[in-house]
Amino acid sequence: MNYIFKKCFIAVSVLSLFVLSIIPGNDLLSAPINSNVALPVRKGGFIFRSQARWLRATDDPTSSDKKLNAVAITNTLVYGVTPDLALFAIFPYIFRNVELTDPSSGKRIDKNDSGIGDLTLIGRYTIYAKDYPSGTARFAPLAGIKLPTGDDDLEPITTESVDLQFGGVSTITWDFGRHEVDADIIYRINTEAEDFEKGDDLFYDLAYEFRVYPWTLPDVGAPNFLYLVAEANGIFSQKSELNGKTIDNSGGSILFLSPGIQFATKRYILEASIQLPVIQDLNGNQVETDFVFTAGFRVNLP
Amino acid sequence: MFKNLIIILGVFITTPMFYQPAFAEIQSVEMQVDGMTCPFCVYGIEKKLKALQEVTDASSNLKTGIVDIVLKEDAPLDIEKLNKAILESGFTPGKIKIKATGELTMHKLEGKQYHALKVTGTNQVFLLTLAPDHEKEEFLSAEKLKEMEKASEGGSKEIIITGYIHSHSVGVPPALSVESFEVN
Repeated sequence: MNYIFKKCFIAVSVLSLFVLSIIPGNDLLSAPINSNVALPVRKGGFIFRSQARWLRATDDPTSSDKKLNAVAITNTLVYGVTPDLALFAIFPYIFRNVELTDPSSGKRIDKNDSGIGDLTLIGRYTIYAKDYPSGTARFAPLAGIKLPTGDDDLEPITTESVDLQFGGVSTITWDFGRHEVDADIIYRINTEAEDFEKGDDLFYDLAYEFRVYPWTLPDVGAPNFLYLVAEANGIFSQKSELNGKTIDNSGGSILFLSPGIQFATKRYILEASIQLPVIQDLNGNQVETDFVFTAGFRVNLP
Repeated sequence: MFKNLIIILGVFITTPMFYQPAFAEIQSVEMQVDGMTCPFCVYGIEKKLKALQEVTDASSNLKTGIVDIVLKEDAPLDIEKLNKAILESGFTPGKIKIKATGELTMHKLEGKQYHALKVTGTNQVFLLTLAPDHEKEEFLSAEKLKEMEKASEGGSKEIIITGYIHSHSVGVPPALSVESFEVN
Protein backbone atom coordinates (compact mmCIF):
# COMPACT_ATOMS: atom_id res chain seq x y z
CA MET A 1 0.00 0.00 0.00
CA ASN A 2 1.58 3.30 -0.99
CA TYR A 3 2.23 5.94 1.62
CA ILE A 4 -0.54 8.31 0.47
CA PHE A 5 -3.17 5.58 0.41
CA LYS A 6 -2.09 4.30 3.79
CA LYS A 7 -2.41 7.78 5.24
CA CYS A 8 -5.87 8.17 3.70
CA PHE A 9 -6.90 4.76 4.86
CA ILE A 10 -5.75 5.43 8.38
CA ALA A 11 -7.58 8.74 8.22
CA VAL A 12 -10.81 7.19 7.13
CA SER A 13 -10.40 4.44 9.66
CA VAL A 14 -9.94 6.99 12.38
CA LEU A 15 -12.89 8.93 11.05
CA SER A 16 -14.93 5.82 10.99
CA LEU A 17 -13.94 5.03 14.54
CA PHE A 18 -16.33 7.66 15.74
CA VAL A 19 -19.35 6.14 14.14
CA LEU A 20 -17.98 2.67 14.63
CA SER A 21 -17.91 3.30 18.38
CA ILE A 22 -21.50 2.28 18.30
CA ILE A 23 -21.01 -0.80 16.18
CA PRO A 24 -19.28 -3.49 18.20
CA GLY A 25 -21.58 -2.94 21.00
CA ASN A 26 -21.66 -0.99 24.03
CA ASP A 27 -25.07 -2.52 24.09
CA LEU A 28 -25.64 -4.71 27.04
CA LEU A 29 -28.60 -6.76 27.88
CA SER A 30 -31.28 -4.49 26.57
CA ALA A 31 -34.96 -4.73 26.90
CA PRO A 32 -34.96 -1.95 24.35
CA ILE A 33 -32.82 -2.57 21.32
CA ASN A 34 -29.95 -0.09 21.40
CA SER A 35 -30.12 0.97 25.04
CA ASN A 36 -29.32 -0.82 28.27
CA VAL A 37 -31.67 -2.19 30.88
CA ALA A 38 -31.65 -2.95 34.59
CA LEU A 39 -33.97 -5.97 34.56
CA PRO A 40 -32.70 -9.02 36.48
CA VAL A 41 -31.02 -12.20 35.30
CA ARG A 42 -31.88 -15.22 37.46
CA LYS A 43 -29.12 -16.62 39.65
CA GLY A 44 -27.21 -19.22 37.70
CA GLY A 45 -29.03 -18.33 34.50
CA PHE A 46 -27.60 -17.59 31.08
CA ILE A 47 -28.95 -15.36 28.34
CA PHE A 48 -27.46 -15.25 24.87
CA ARG A 49 -27.94 -12.32 22.55
CA SER A 50 -26.88 -11.76 18.98
CA GLN A 51 -27.33 -8.63 16.93
CA ALA A 52 -26.34 -7.79 13.40
CA ARG A 53 -25.69 -4.05 13.08
CA TRP A 54 -25.15 -2.45 9.70
CA LEU A 55 -23.70 1.02 9.66
CA ARG A 56 -23.49 3.05 6.52
CA ALA A 57 -21.66 6.34 6.35
CA THR A 58 -21.33 7.98 2.96
CA ASP A 59 -21.68 11.70 3.44
CA ASP A 60 -18.08 12.77 2.96
CA PRO A 61 -17.44 16.53 2.75
CA THR A 62 -14.03 16.01 1.11
CA SER A 63 -13.09 15.14 -2.46
CA SER A 64 -12.04 11.64 -1.37
CA ASP A 65 -15.72 10.73 -1.41
CA LYS A 66 -15.19 8.16 1.33
CA LYS A 67 -17.87 5.57 1.83
CA LEU A 68 -17.99 3.23 4.75
CA ASN A 69 -20.10 0.15 5.28
CA ALA A 70 -19.57 -1.89 8.39
CA VAL A 71 -21.47 -4.83 9.78
CA ALA A 72 -20.88 -6.08 13.27
CA ILE A 73 -22.30 -9.37 14.48
CA THR A 74 -22.29 -8.69 18.19
CA ASN A 75 -22.73 -11.67 20.46
CA THR A 76 -23.34 -11.22 24.16
CA LEU A 77 -23.39 -13.90 26.81
CA VAL A 78 -24.95 -12.87 30.12
CA TYR A 79 -24.63 -14.76 33.38
CA GLY A 80 -26.56 -14.15 36.59
CA VAL A 81 -24.05 -14.55 39.42
CA THR A 82 -26.70 -13.44 41.88
CA PRO A 83 -30.09 -11.84 41.29
CA ASP A 84 -28.35 -8.45 41.60
CA LEU A 85 -25.03 -9.13 39.85
CA ALA A 86 -24.95 -9.92 36.15
CA LEU A 87 -21.82 -10.39 34.05
CA PHE A 88 -21.67 -9.69 30.34
CA ALA A 89 -19.17 -10.86 27.75
CA ILE A 90 -19.49 -9.06 24.44
CA PHE A 91 -17.59 -10.43 21.45
CA PRO A 92 -18.21 -8.94 18.02
CA TYR A 93 -17.28 -10.06 14.56
CA ILE A 94 -16.87 -7.18 12.17
CA PHE A 95 -17.01 -6.80 8.43
CA ARG A 96 -15.79 -3.50 7.01
CA ASN A 97 -15.83 -2.06 3.53
CA VAL A 98 -14.15 1.25 2.77
CA GLU A 99 -14.19 3.04 -0.56
CA LEU A 100 -12.24 6.17 -1.23
CA THR A 101 -10.54 8.04 -4.01
CA ASP A 102 -6.75 8.01 -3.81
CA PRO A 103 -5.87 11.70 -4.02
CA SER A 104 -2.55 11.06 -5.76
CA SER A 105 -3.77 8.80 -8.54
CA GLY A 106 -7.44 9.59 -8.60
CA LYS A 107 -8.15 5.90 -8.56
CA ARG A 108 -11.08 4.55 -6.68
CA ILE A 109 -10.01 2.10 -3.99
CA ASP A 110 -12.24 -0.50 -2.44
CA LYS A 111 -10.99 -2.41 0.57
CA ASN A 112 -12.63 -5.12 2.64
CA ASP A 113 -11.65 -6.33 6.05
CA SER A 114 -13.21 -8.70 8.50
CA GLY A 115 -12.32 -10.27 11.77
CA ILE A 116 -12.95 -10.62 15.45
CA GLY A 117 -13.49 -7.42 17.38
CA ASP A 118 -12.18 -6.69 20.85
CA LEU A 119 -13.76 -8.51 23.80
CA THR A 120 -15.63 -6.42 26.35
CA LEU A 121 -16.47 -7.66 29.86
CA ILE A 122 -18.98 -5.83 32.01
CA GLY A 123 -20.45 -6.25 35.45
CA ARG A 124 -23.80 -4.73 36.41
CA TYR A 125 -25.00 -4.62 40.01
CA THR A 126 -28.52 -3.63 41.04
CA ILE A 127 -28.46 -1.34 44.03
CA TYR A 128 -32.09 -0.30 43.98
CA ALA A 129 -35.09 -2.42 43.13
CA LYS A 130 -38.70 -1.81 43.98
CA ASP A 131 -41.19 -4.31 42.63
CA TYR A 132 -44.92 -3.80 42.41
CA PRO A 133 -47.71 -6.09 41.22
CA SER A 134 -47.93 -3.97 38.07
CA GLY A 135 -44.32 -3.01 37.49
CA THR A 136 -40.84 -2.40 38.75
CA ALA A 137 -38.28 0.37 39.24
CA ARG A 138 -34.56 -0.42 39.28
CA PHE A 139 -31.17 1.17 39.13
CA ALA A 140 -27.85 -0.56 38.52
CA PRO A 141 -24.37 0.90 38.20
CA LEU A 142 -22.01 -0.92 35.90
CA ALA A 143 -18.32 -1.13 35.06
CA GLY A 144 -16.44 -2.84 32.28
CA ILE A 145 -13.19 -3.38 30.46
CA LYS A 146 -12.33 -3.75 26.79
CA LEU A 147 -9.47 -6.12 26.08
CA PRO A 148 -7.21 -6.00 23.02
CA THR A 149 -8.20 -9.40 21.69
CA GLY A 150 -9.39 -8.42 18.24
CA ASP A 151 -7.83 -8.87 14.82
CA ASP A 152 -5.11 -6.39 13.98
CA ASP A 153 -6.49 -6.11 10.44
CA LEU A 154 -9.43 -4.18 11.83
CA GLU A 155 -7.32 -1.49 13.44
CA PRO A 156 -8.17 1.08 14.58
CA ILE A 157 -11.65 -0.33 15.21
CA THR A 158 -9.80 -2.88 17.28
CA THR A 159 -7.00 -1.45 19.36
CA GLU A 160 -4.13 -2.70 21.44
CA SER A 161 -5.35 -0.66 24.38
CA VAL A 162 -7.19 -1.76 27.48
CA ASP A 163 -10.12 0.58 27.92
CA LEU A 164 -12.39 1.04 30.89
CA GLN A 165 -16.02 2.02 31.09
CA PHE A 166 -18.40 2.78 33.88
CA GLY A 167 -21.89 4.15 34.24
CA GLY A 168 -25.40 3.32 35.30
CA VAL A 169 -28.70 2.14 33.95
CA SER A 170 -32.25 2.50 35.22
CA THR A 171 -35.50 0.82 34.24
CA ILE A 172 -39.09 1.58 35.10
CA THR A 173 -42.06 -0.49 33.97
CA TRP A 174 -45.70 0.09 34.80
CA ASP A 175 -49.25 -0.86 33.93
CA PHE A 176 -48.41 -4.58 33.78
CA GLY A 177 -45.78 -4.23 31.12
CA ARG A 178 -47.70 -1.81 28.92
CA HIS A 179 -44.99 0.83 29.34
CA GLU A 180 -41.28 0.70 29.96
CA VAL A 181 -38.68 3.45 30.13
CA ASP A 182 -34.95 2.75 30.25
CA ALA A 183 -32.17 5.27 30.62
CA ASP A 184 -28.44 4.80 30.80
CA ILE A 185 -25.23 6.78 30.73
CA ILE A 186 -21.78 5.26 30.21
CA TYR A 187 -18.35 6.86 30.11
CA ARG A 188 -15.57 5.04 28.33
CA ILE A 189 -11.93 5.83 29.07
CA ASN A 190 -9.84 4.92 26.05
CA THR A 191 -6.16 4.49 26.76
CA GLU A 192 -3.11 4.74 24.55
CA ALA A 193 -1.49 1.85 22.72
CA GLU A 194 1.00 1.85 19.85
CA ASP A 195 1.04 5.66 19.77
CA PHE A 196 -2.70 5.84 19.15
CA GLU A 197 -5.26 6.96 21.71
CA LYS A 198 -8.90 7.23 20.81
CA GLY A 199 -10.73 10.04 22.56
CA ASP A 200 -12.93 9.17 25.50
CA ASP A 201 -16.61 8.55 24.80
CA LEU A 202 -19.78 9.40 26.65
CA PHE A 203 -22.81 7.32 25.68
CA TYR A 204 -26.34 8.16 26.73
CA ASP A 205 -29.58 6.42 25.89
CA LEU A 206 -33.25 6.90 26.57
CA ALA A 207 -35.78 4.31 25.44
CA TYR A 208 -39.52 3.94 25.65
CA GLU A 209 -41.34 0.69 24.93
CA PHE A 210 -45.07 0.46 24.39
CA ARG A 211 -46.88 -2.87 24.28
CA VAL A 212 -49.34 -2.99 21.42
CA TYR A 213 -50.12 -6.70 21.62
CA PRO A 214 -51.93 -7.99 23.46
CA TRP A 215 -53.78 -4.76 24.04
CA THR A 216 -55.47 -6.29 27.06
CA LEU A 217 -53.79 -9.04 29.04
CA PRO A 218 -55.71 -12.32 29.02
CA ASP A 219 -57.03 -13.65 32.30
CA VAL A 220 -54.57 -16.53 32.28
CA GLY A 221 -51.03 -17.17 31.20
CA ALA A 222 -48.06 -15.14 30.05
CA PRO A 223 -48.75 -14.33 26.40
CA ASN A 224 -46.21 -13.20 23.85
CA PHE A 225 -45.76 -9.43 23.69
CA LEU A 226 -45.27 -7.11 20.75
CA TYR A 227 -43.65 -3.76 21.55
CA LEU A 228 -43.11 -0.59 19.60
CA VAL A 229 -39.83 0.96 20.66
CA ALA A 230 -38.63 4.55 20.44
CA GLU A 231 -35.07 5.38 21.43
CA ALA A 232 -32.73 8.33 21.54
CA ASN A 233 -29.09 7.25 21.51
CA GLY A 234 -26.26 9.73 21.71
CA ILE A 235 -22.48 9.86 21.82
CA PHE A 236 -20.01 12.56 22.73
CA SER A 237 -16.44 11.73 21.73
CA GLN A 238 -13.23 13.57 22.46
CA LYS A 239 -10.64 13.99 19.74
CA SER A 240 -8.19 11.16 19.22
CA GLU A 241 -4.41 11.38 19.27
CA LEU A 242 -1.81 9.80 17.04
CA ASN A 243 1.86 9.98 17.94
CA GLY A 244 1.00 12.50 20.61
CA LYS A 245 -0.71 14.86 18.17
CA THR A 246 -4.41 15.62 18.20
CA ILE A 247 -6.29 14.44 15.15
CA ASP A 248 -8.48 17.37 14.19
CA ASN A 249 -10.76 15.23 12.08
CA SER A 250 -11.94 13.13 15.00
CA GLY A 251 -14.47 13.23 17.78
CA GLY A 252 -17.68 15.17 17.98
CA SER A 253 -21.23 14.31 18.87
CA ILE A 254 -24.07 12.45 17.30
CA LEU A 255 -27.66 11.84 18.31
CA PHE A 256 -29.82 9.11 16.82
CA LEU A 257 -33.55 8.68 16.97
CA SER A 258 -34.31 5.01 16.68
CA PRO A 259 -37.73 3.50 16.05
CA GLY A 260 -37.94 -0.23 16.44
CA ILE A 261 -40.09 -3.26 17.04
CA GLN A 262 -39.71 -6.16 19.41
CA PHE A 263 -41.48 -9.50 19.83
CA ALA A 264 -41.01 -11.16 23.22
CA THR A 265 -41.86 -14.69 24.34
CA LYS A 266 -40.85 -16.56 27.47
CA ARG A 267 -37.90 -18.11 25.75
CA TYR A 268 -36.73 -15.66 23.12
CA ILE A 269 -36.99 -12.11 21.83
CA LEU A 270 -36.79 -10.94 18.20
CA GLU A 271 -36.10 -7.30 17.45
CA ALA A 272 -35.19 -4.78 14.79
CA SER A 273 -34.56 -1.06 14.72
CA ILE A 274 -33.09 1.67 12.60
CA GLN A 275 -31.02 4.48 14.07
CA LEU A 276 -31.31 7.73 12.14
CA PRO A 277 -28.94 10.57 12.97
CA VAL A 278 -30.76 13.79 13.75
CA ILE A 279 -27.73 15.66 15.05
CA GLN A 280 -24.20 15.14 13.75
CA ASP A 281 -21.67 17.62 14.97
CA LEU A 282 -18.42 16.02 13.91
CA ASN A 283 -15.08 17.73 14.17
CA GLY A 284 -13.26 18.53 10.94
CA ASN A 285 -14.01 16.62 7.76
CA GLN A 286 -15.50 13.33 8.85
CA VAL A 287 -17.82 11.00 7.03
CA GLU A 288 -21.31 11.35 8.39
CA THR A 289 -23.51 8.41 9.22
CA ASP A 290 -26.51 7.64 7.05
CA PHE A 291 -28.08 5.09 9.36
CA VAL A 292 -27.49 2.09 11.57
CA PHE A 293 -29.83 -0.85 11.05
CA THR A 294 -30.01 -3.49 13.74
CA ALA A 295 -31.72 -6.88 13.84
CA GLY A 296 -31.23 -9.55 16.41
CA PHE A 297 -32.50 -12.03 18.91
CA ARG A 298 -31.90 -13.09 22.47
CA VAL A 299 -32.69 -16.36 24.15
CA ASN A 300 -33.03 -17.64 27.71
CA LEU A 301 -30.68 -20.58 27.78
CA PRO A 302 -32.07 -23.65 29.60
CA MET B 1 -61.55 -73.72 41.84
CA PHE B 2 -63.81 -72.19 39.26
CA LYS B 3 -65.46 -70.17 42.03
CA ASN B 4 -62.07 -68.86 43.20
CA LEU B 5 -61.20 -67.88 39.65
CA ILE B 6 -64.40 -65.87 39.37
CA ILE B 7 -63.58 -64.06 42.60
CA ILE B 8 -60.02 -63.25 41.47
CA LEU B 9 -61.26 -62.00 38.10
CA GLY B 10 -63.90 -59.97 39.85
CA VAL B 11 -61.28 -58.24 41.95
CA PHE B 12 -59.17 -57.39 38.90
CA ILE B 13 -62.15 -56.06 36.98
CA THR B 14 -63.76 -54.02 39.73
CA THR B 15 -60.70 -52.62 41.45
CA PRO B 16 -60.22 -49.85 38.84
CA MET B 17 -63.82 -48.77 39.47
CA PHE B 18 -63.07 -48.02 43.10
CA TYR B 19 -59.51 -46.80 42.67
CA GLN B 20 -59.30 -43.05 43.16
CA PRO B 21 -56.13 -41.64 41.65
CA ALA B 22 -54.29 -39.83 44.42
CA PHE B 23 -53.66 -36.11 44.10
CA ALA B 24 -51.53 -33.75 46.04
CA GLU B 25 -53.40 -32.88 49.23
CA ILE B 26 -52.22 -29.32 48.84
CA GLN B 27 -54.36 -28.93 45.78
CA SER B 28 -53.36 -25.48 44.68
CA VAL B 29 -50.65 -22.98 45.49
CA GLU B 30 -50.96 -19.43 44.16
CA MET B 31 -48.02 -17.17 44.82
CA GLN B 32 -48.03 -13.43 44.25
CA VAL B 33 -44.83 -12.26 42.55
CA ASP B 34 -44.14 -8.53 42.17
CA GLY B 35 -42.16 -7.00 39.32
CA MET B 36 -43.11 -9.66 36.81
CA THR B 37 -44.09 -7.64 33.74
CA CYS B 38 -42.84 -9.39 30.64
CA PRO B 39 -42.86 -12.97 29.30
CA PHE B 40 -39.07 -13.08 28.99
CA CYS B 41 -38.75 -12.31 32.72
CA VAL B 42 -41.27 -15.01 33.60
CA TYR B 43 -39.02 -17.74 32.21
CA GLY B 44 -36.52 -17.33 35.03
CA ILE B 45 -39.22 -17.48 37.70
CA GLU B 46 -40.78 -20.66 36.35
CA LYS B 47 -37.38 -22.25 35.83
CA LYS B 48 -36.35 -21.62 39.43
CA LEU B 49 -39.59 -22.99 40.83
CA LYS B 50 -39.58 -26.10 38.64
CA ALA B 51 -36.05 -26.85 39.84
CA LEU B 52 -37.43 -27.43 43.36
CA GLN B 53 -37.79 -31.08 44.27
CA GLU B 54 -41.33 -30.57 45.53
CA VAL B 55 -42.63 -28.79 42.44
CA THR B 56 -43.89 -30.44 39.26
CA ASP B 57 -45.09 -27.35 37.43
CA ALA B 58 -45.27 -23.56 37.66
CA SER B 59 -47.13 -21.22 35.36
CA SER B 60 -47.36 -17.45 35.52
CA ASN B 61 -50.24 -15.06 35.00
CA LEU B 62 -49.03 -11.63 33.95
CA LYS B 63 -52.41 -10.01 34.47
CA THR B 64 -52.73 -10.96 38.12
CA GLY B 65 -49.04 -11.32 38.94
CA ILE B 66 -49.73 -14.77 40.34
CA VAL B 67 -47.72 -17.91 39.76
CA ASP B 68 -49.64 -21.18 39.99
CA ILE B 69 -47.48 -23.88 41.52
CA VAL B 70 -48.26 -27.58 41.38
CA LEU B 71 -46.69 -29.66 44.11
CA LYS B 72 -45.78 -33.32 43.81
CA GLU B 73 -48.12 -35.78 45.43
CA ASP B 74 -47.82 -35.70 49.21
CA ALA B 75 -45.02 -33.14 49.00
CA PRO B 76 -44.89 -30.69 51.88
CA LEU B 77 -45.07 -27.00 51.15
CA ASP B 78 -41.93 -25.13 52.14
CA ILE B 79 -42.64 -21.41 52.16
CA GLU B 80 -38.98 -20.46 52.58
CA LYS B 81 -37.94 -22.51 49.56
CA LEU B 82 -40.60 -20.90 47.38
CA ASN B 83 -39.63 -17.41 48.54
CA LYS B 84 -35.97 -18.16 47.93
CA ALA B 85 -36.69 -19.36 44.40
CA ILE B 86 -38.48 -16.11 43.59
CA LEU B 87 -35.73 -13.98 45.12
CA GLU B 88 -33.07 -15.87 43.17
CA SER B 89 -34.96 -15.16 39.98
CA GLY B 90 -34.65 -11.45 40.76
CA PHE B 91 -38.22 -10.66 41.78
CA THR B 92 -40.18 -10.09 44.99
CA PRO B 93 -42.31 -12.85 46.55
CA GLY B 94 -45.68 -11.89 47.98
CA LYS B 95 -48.58 -13.68 49.58
CA ILE B 96 -49.21 -17.38 49.06
CA LYS B 97 -52.72 -18.75 48.83
CA ILE B 98 -53.36 -22.48 49.06
CA LYS B 99 -56.16 -24.99 48.98
CA ALA B 100 -55.39 -27.89 51.28
CA THR B 101 -57.21 -31.03 52.34
CA GLY B 102 -56.81 -32.48 55.78
CA GLU B 103 -58.35 -33.00 59.15
CA LEU B 104 -58.87 -30.63 62.01
CA THR B 105 -56.56 -31.33 64.87
CA MET B 106 -54.93 -29.73 67.87
CA HIS B 107 -51.25 -28.82 67.79
CA LYS B 108 -49.30 -28.42 70.98
CA LEU B 109 -46.82 -25.58 71.05
CA GLU B 110 -44.96 -24.32 74.10
CA GLY B 111 -47.47 -25.87 76.43
CA LYS B 112 -50.52 -24.48 74.63
CA GLN B 113 -52.93 -26.15 72.27
CA TYR B 114 -53.69 -24.52 68.90
CA HIS B 115 -56.29 -25.46 66.31
CA ALA B 116 -54.60 -26.75 63.22
CA LEU B 117 -55.06 -28.57 59.93
CA LYS B 118 -53.07 -31.74 59.39
CA VAL B 119 -52.68 -32.19 55.65
CA THR B 120 -53.75 -35.62 54.49
CA GLY B 121 -50.95 -37.99 53.59
CA THR B 122 -48.22 -35.78 54.98
CA ASN B 123 -46.86 -34.68 58.32
CA GLN B 124 -47.48 -31.07 57.43
CA VAL B 125 -49.48 -29.02 59.91
CA PHE B 126 -50.83 -25.50 59.49
CA LEU B 127 -51.94 -23.44 62.48
CA LEU B 128 -55.35 -22.06 61.68
CA THR B 129 -55.81 -18.29 61.88
CA LEU B 130 -58.09 -15.61 60.60
CA ALA B 131 -55.38 -13.17 59.55
CA PRO B 132 -53.49 -13.45 56.23
CA ASP B 133 -50.21 -12.12 57.56
CA HIS B 134 -48.03 -12.40 60.58
CA GLU B 135 -48.35 -8.79 61.71
CA LYS B 136 -52.03 -9.18 62.44
CA GLU B 137 -51.95 -12.71 63.82
CA GLU B 138 -55.38 -13.62 65.05
CA PHE B 139 -56.27 -17.16 65.82
CA LEU B 140 -59.59 -18.73 64.95
CA SER B 141 -62.61 -17.48 66.77
CA ALA B 142 -64.73 -19.97 68.67
CA GLU B 143 -67.66 -19.38 66.31
CA LYS B 144 -65.61 -20.08 63.21
CA LEU B 145 -64.15 -23.19 64.75
CA LYS B 146 -67.53 -24.45 65.78
CA GLU B 147 -68.79 -23.96 62.24
CA MET B 148 -65.88 -25.94 60.81
CA GLU B 149 -66.16 -28.72 63.38
CA LYS B 150 -69.84 -29.07 62.74
CA ALA B 151 -69.29 -29.26 58.99
CA SER B 152 -66.59 -31.88 59.35
CA GLU B 153 -68.70 -33.81 61.84
CA GLY B 154 -66.30 -33.36 64.66
CA GLY B 155 -63.27 -33.98 62.51
CA SER B 156 -64.39 -37.31 61.14
CA LYS B 157 -64.60 -35.93 57.61
CA GLU B 158 -61.81 -34.33 55.67
CA ILE B 159 -62.03 -30.59 55.31
CA ILE B 160 -60.71 -28.47 52.45
CA ILE B 161 -59.49 -25.05 53.50
CA THR B 162 -58.59 -22.18 51.18
CA GLY B 163 -56.55 -19.34 52.56
CA TYR B 164 -53.26 -17.49 52.80
CA ILE B 165 -50.26 -18.93 54.52
CA HIS B 166 -47.28 -17.37 56.19
CA SER B 167 -44.29 -18.79 57.98
CA HIS B 168 -43.24 -18.50 61.58
CA SER B 169 -39.90 -18.97 63.23
CA VAL B 170 -38.10 -22.29 63.10
CA GLY B 171 -39.97 -25.03 64.90
CA VAL B 172 -43.35 -23.31 64.66
CA PRO B 173 -45.68 -24.58 61.93
CA PRO B 174 -46.80 -22.06 59.31
CA ALA B 175 -50.18 -20.42 59.63
CA LEU B 176 -53.14 -20.83 57.31
CA SER B 177 -55.82 -18.14 57.39
CA VAL B 178 -59.28 -19.57 56.76
CA GLU B 179 -60.77 -17.62 53.85
CA SER B 180 -63.25 -20.39 53.04
CA PHE B 181 -63.74 -24.08 53.64
CA GLU B 182 -65.73 -27.03 52.39
CA VAL B 183 -66.13 -30.59 53.47
CA ASN B 184 -64.78 -33.43 51.35
